[in-house]
Amino acid sequence: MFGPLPLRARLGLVGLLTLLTFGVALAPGRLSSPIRKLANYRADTRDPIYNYPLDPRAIRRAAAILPNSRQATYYIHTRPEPQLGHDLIGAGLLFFLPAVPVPSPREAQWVLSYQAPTLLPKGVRAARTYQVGRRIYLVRLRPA
Amino acid sequence: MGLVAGVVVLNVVLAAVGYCVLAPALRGRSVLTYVSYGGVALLVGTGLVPLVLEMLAPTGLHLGLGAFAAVAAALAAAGLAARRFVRLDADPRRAAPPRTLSGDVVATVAAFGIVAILGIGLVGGFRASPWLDDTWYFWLPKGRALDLAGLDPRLWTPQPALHMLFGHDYESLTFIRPDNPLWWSILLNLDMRFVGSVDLRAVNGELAFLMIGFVGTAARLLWGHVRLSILLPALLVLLSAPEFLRQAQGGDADVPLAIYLALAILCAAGWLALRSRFALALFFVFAATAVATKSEGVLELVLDLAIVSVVAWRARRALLPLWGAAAAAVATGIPWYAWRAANDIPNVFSLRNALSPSYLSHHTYLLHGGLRILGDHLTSVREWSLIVPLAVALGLAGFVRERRLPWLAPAAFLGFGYVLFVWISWADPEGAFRLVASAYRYVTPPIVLAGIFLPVLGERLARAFSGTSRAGRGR
Repeated sequence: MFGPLPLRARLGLVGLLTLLTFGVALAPGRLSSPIRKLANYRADTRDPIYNYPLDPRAIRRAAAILPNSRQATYYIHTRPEPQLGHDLIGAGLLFFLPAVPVPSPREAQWVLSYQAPTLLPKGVRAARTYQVGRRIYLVRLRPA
Repeated sequence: MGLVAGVVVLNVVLAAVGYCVLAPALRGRSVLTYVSYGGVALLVGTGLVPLVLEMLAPTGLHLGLGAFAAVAAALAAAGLAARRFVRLDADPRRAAPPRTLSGDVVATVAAFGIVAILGIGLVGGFRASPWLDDTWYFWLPKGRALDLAGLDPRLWTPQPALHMLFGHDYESLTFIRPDNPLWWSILLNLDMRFVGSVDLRAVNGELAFLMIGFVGTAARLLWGHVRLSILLPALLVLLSAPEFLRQAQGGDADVPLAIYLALAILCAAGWLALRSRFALALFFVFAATAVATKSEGVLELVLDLAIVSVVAWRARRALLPLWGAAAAAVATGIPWYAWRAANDIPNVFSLRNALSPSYLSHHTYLLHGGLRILGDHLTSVREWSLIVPLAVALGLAGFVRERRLPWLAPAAFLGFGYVLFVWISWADPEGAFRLVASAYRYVTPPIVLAGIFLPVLGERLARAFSGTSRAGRGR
């Protein structure tokens, strides 16, 4: 497998390439950009990179409270912002399963109230409220 | 287990299953030979275990650790048992060392580059949460749903009643792109299960392992067929493409699709050129996985096989087993397609639109947009470095020299792949959105497929020219 390159020369070449790689990795500016991107110098957390700046800890706290049951249903109550709603639905599908989302609060046993103008939408009443973040609540509803 | 340990252990288990499945082809070989098939074993195990789980999903089985353990054990046992009555020869070839000093230097530098990129990519993968929201919005949630609730139509079947209005936009409460197969979702959920919590960095860790497996498999399959001073630099060109590396941290299923599709077609070529039954068996595994990865996988597989069949028409006797293996690979998706049909889950790409002259004539703006946007991505050297120009140039040089169609196969993969996706976008009611959001990913499979043939093109061209120079000296 090894060709005519002597072992010392091969080791020297590999050493040189290693030094060069480290040099490029540590270089300022655009030179180090490819390695910086690939190695992700500024490490991410374990949470999704949401499009809207959701509070990831609040989502996980709510997930820990929701019952681990396919019968559990939840409703997302928030401001009328498309990106916020989109991300909350995705976060719910990721963390709240096996509970399923429903489109109407009257069908829900739980409400995730995420920085909404009111704690709950009209027509439902709280049985118990858990604060999981700043102006973020998980609310167990009273049965209708 | 934690992030790194969890992903590593899962991949070790999958590679072990892969080795068991490969046992009929590797029996009696040296330890070094076994080690050299590590990439193949990893991709075979990673392909097969979630594939079998996907086939079981319509039964309602919860696809968690229990189902994983049972399927992995069954596959491993089947592979070990098959050793007794199945004879396949992996035909592991040894590579001749580079003959010239310059060739040796080139091979050494390229090998260093490959190891460095894969190593940095592996570290980076574990430090990066996927940048594409599809990953956490539906790919991984689907896997968790299959684990926690089984294949529940309430979450998959599109229902207008299950939409919510946020501001001016409707959002579905069921999974978007419900037509996509389940392989990638199942694999991602297994990663989370082994890690012990939802940690999105495990997605990119898994993708890094797939990249390592891809390069390892390509190198192993071409080892001894392509000289090292061509093989390693060509793989480096493919691996180092900025867009390939960027997408390998995006978390979407396009990179796995590209990897498995490219290896499937490489194995198809191996079967046609060498009549290697081992290559045909690998073709089945890789093709079945590609079909199970994304909806368009089956279309791309059929298109690329059609191209292979045309350019390899001289070897038409070998085409029948190849198409038989392809049919068997597609048939592994029957349980999923049947469940989809039973639950009214349509494909987002409508064949009716695609074949309707009136629909297409009313949406010509999408044709123009598709041609331009997909063409820009396909030909961008900034995104895909030299893969496309090299595949076209080397293919043309070989074709001009020998007037044989196989030279044009990589260019045809690119050209017809481009036409396919322009057509799909043209026929898609949401084509305008998808072209902007996804066109950069549509071109990934054809480009990676063309790229994996760069070493083959380079070797054949080098042989053609060295043959001429020897003949010239002879005269």
